[in-house]
Amino acid sequence: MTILPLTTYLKMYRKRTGFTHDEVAFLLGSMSGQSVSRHEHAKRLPILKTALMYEAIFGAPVREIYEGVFVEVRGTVQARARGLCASLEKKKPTKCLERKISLLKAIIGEDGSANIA
Amino acid sequence: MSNSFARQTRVLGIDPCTKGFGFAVIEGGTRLLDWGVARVYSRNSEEFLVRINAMIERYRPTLIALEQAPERRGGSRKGDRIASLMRYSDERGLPCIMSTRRKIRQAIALRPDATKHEVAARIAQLFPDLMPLLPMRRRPWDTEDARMNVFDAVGFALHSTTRKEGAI
Repeated sequence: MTILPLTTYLKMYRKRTGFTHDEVAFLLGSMSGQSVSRHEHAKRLPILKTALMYEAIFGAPVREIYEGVFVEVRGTVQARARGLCASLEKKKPTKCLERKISLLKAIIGEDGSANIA
Repeated sequence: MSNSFARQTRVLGIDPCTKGFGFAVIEGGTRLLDWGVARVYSRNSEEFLVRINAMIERYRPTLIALEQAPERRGGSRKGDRIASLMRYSDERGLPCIMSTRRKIRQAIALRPDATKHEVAARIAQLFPDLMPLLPMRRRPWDTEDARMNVFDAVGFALHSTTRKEGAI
């Protein structure tokens, strides 16, 4: 049985650098160390800009820092992609439609390529 | 060091000490998620278990790794905490893996008579994030540095991930 990833690995990345909460908050600008702690404990998700700042600070993609969240949203998107794919396949095939179906299958992972972390 | 079993585990290694406990969380056998020494101020096990519970809630470990402490006459705080943690993990349905110093040395491919500092240095090589924590080699009159509890906890966690699946 594969274990589910944690919501966030932010604390791991911060401890690797040795930065304190306040130092990371300073790099983020106008936030207290408490906000960083809340993000580490997954009590609150950061806004997009802050998440990208974490990526800039720690050199790790947001999807790896928030791996648990990424796995969750990817599952949601894949489920919706299956539904959309099924409805598009019922329509009269066109080049544009085939391209969309191909992209949806890539999202779902059925074509054996891409979009799987 | 990783095997298929290790890839599916998240281990919480705990080394109780007089002032609290050293801890380490290892995921997949190679990924060190968290580590440190936590201070516990009360003498009984209640506060200790509260802190452990918070860690279990945060990291959702699949295993807890502890030291198989030798039996001592009378009670000891460390022995009491190990016993209370074993009971607690049993209540929560979490497997508890007991490690010995000899098994840790085997897990990290060291000779059986390697010193604690040599074990810690090897662990620091395996997990470079711990290198800043590595204390100086202890002299006979020095008390043990509290940071060694972190390396002990990592050692227990490593042993639990290198064992064969199903074996305890």
